[in-house]
Amino acid sequence: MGRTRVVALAGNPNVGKTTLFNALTGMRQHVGNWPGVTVEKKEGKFTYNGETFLVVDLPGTYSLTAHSIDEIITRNFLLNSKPDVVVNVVDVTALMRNLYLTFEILEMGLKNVVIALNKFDLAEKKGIKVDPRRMAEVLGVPVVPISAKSGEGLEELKETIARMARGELKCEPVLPTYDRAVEREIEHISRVLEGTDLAKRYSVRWLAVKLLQRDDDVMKLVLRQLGKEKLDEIMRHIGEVEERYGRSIDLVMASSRYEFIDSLLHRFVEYENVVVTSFTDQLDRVLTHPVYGLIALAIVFYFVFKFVFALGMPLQSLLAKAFSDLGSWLAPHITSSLLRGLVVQGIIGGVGTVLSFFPLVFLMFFALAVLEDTGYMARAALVLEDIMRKFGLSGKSFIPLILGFGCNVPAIMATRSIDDEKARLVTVLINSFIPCSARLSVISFITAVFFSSHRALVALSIYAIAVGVAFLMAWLLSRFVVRGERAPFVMELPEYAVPPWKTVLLHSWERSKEFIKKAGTVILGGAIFMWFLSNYPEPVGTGKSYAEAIGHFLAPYVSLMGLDWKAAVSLLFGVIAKENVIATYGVLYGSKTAIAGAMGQLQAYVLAVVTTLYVPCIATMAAIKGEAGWKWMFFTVAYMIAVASLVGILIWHVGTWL
Amino acid sequence: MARGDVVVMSLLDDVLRLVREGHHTVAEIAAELGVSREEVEGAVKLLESMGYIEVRRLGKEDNPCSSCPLRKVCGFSKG
Repeated sequence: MGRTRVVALAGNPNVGKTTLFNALTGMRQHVGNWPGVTVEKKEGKFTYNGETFLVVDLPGTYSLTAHSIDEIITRNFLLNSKPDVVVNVVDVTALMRNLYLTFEILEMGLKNVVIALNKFDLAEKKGIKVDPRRMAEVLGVPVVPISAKSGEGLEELKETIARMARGELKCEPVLPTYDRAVEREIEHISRVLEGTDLAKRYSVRWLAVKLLQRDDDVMKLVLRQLGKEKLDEIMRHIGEVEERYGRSIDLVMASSRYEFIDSLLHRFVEYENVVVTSFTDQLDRVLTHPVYGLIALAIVFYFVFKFVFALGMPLQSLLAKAFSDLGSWLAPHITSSLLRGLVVQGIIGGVGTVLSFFPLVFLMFFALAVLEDTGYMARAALVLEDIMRKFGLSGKSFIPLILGFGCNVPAIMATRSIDDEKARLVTVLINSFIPCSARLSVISFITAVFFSSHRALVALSIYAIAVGVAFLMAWLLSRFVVRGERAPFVMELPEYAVPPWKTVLLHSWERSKEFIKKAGTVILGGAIFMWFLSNYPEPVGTGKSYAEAIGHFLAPYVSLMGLDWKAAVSLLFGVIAKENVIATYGVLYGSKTAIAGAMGQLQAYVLAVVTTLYVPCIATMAAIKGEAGWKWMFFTVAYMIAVASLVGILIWHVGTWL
Repeated sequence: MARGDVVVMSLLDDVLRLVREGHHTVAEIAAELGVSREEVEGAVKLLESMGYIEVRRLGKEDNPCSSCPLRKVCGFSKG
């Protein structure tokens, strides 16, 4: 029996490489890691006509430019481990980008490559007709059409691998040619490298191509072989060529390779009606349009709030009544007046009021999960990104700001992906203006209690003000601190889909149960403390409680916004967790009806806006301190209070005047 | 460059130009260039692997909660 032959599987990600690996090796697999890295290494064996083959599944890559660890692993294995056969798995439905990698492999000078043309069964359905025999002639490489999923063509592939391993098949590939200036440079470098030890181990043309692309690993090899002076001379030459092109030579060569592949494709592929505009594309033209997309965003969120209030309010009323009944039932059973006050007024009044808004929070998360799973959220994010850029924000600020709608703490952590330190700082500083899910419950509470109609519009307008203020501050800060850089990017938009309802419900529950958890901890503590402050040393109403003392101290300031001392106390407690604003009203007033009589609609609206804007909660402050330091944390608190006050005063006075 | 040299401009250059000009979706770029989505997707993936453009995904893999110090006490990240 002969030695075990090594077969490397190389290809783009998601071309069916692992499916082919499984189909070839069955259960004879071993999974480990590539030496020194945590990238999975899969090996397996198969036997064909008495010969054993060890198959190595290389990480999927689009090119071999050594930009990522996957590319480095694949390239080093192909170059240094010298496998007996390299099977390049090519997705027939995306030939252009797949063949780009094929030619990078062939440029290495490998003469043992076999192309496994996968998903051949799908090609015709997509209007792609490929002639594998003609393809093999044109490329100079054996081509085997297969379907790794159904197992079609696998026997022929095994036969081809075995023949290639035995040296019965030859691979004489056609190689890409570049612009004349580049080819001249390749020739020049090749002449310098010929006759060296490197030339014995690697293809000289490949080394020259990689030097032109300023490949770090190849530059090190050449440095060791030829010395610094010679390498510097080569690189100077390359710099001159690049200067004449006026753009990166890497891109010039990639373009040439692309054109080269395009010119070959026509010789063995026929496309029928491939350019079609799908319903998704047509819809995207509206939903991602800078103007129509924004209108669509407003309409969608208007209906989201409408749905939340229409369905959530009757449930909220039921829960509020249940808590109220629980209080009335418990009260006569508790003999100690101190304990009765604490349980009925403090715990049930405070925490119960917050908890009664659980249906609204759940429904909001449900609606957001539906939007996410239908694929709409990515479109909404893209529309917002366009606006962010107009306000001078860095392109990379986009994900952290979107995350802020969930929770500002991880959103601030996510700013770490922004390389520019000043741009990162601006994103950290404005993130707390984005209304998180805790503020959603306050917005829902105030909207539900004080507004009997147009609730969706009221809630939407508060969100719009908060986002508007965030963008305005970004504009101001970026004007004086940093100008936003334009990072070229493409947004990956998922296909529109019917949401998987079970997953949507699970996500909504997972996220909204945090609200209940918080009610049992931070809010419970806040409510008890608030009850203490409002009952000691004398009950509230006597003018001698601690709550009144604090409230009256802050009253002159909040009165500029039309708010009273109770609002001042609730805002103070909201610093710990925003939901405490609701809990405070619950403790001070006891019932929803009593709260509703505490202030007018304009005052309630001002309170909702100020609560949304005024200071980050304690957890967010800690995140800002961690990411930007004490100085910026204090700056954020101070400037947010200033901005919230200004907006509050403005709304109050304009509202009163109207 | 010497006389007679031809500078090749491929789909790759066109896609990169449009992305730099502010086109952010594959559909938009495909419509602009009159080519299929698959062709643009291929060019986008290649340009991303070469480090010329960034591809943004709003998915769970981008969830930064994994780095949040509050993740153990916060249920938000589990969603």
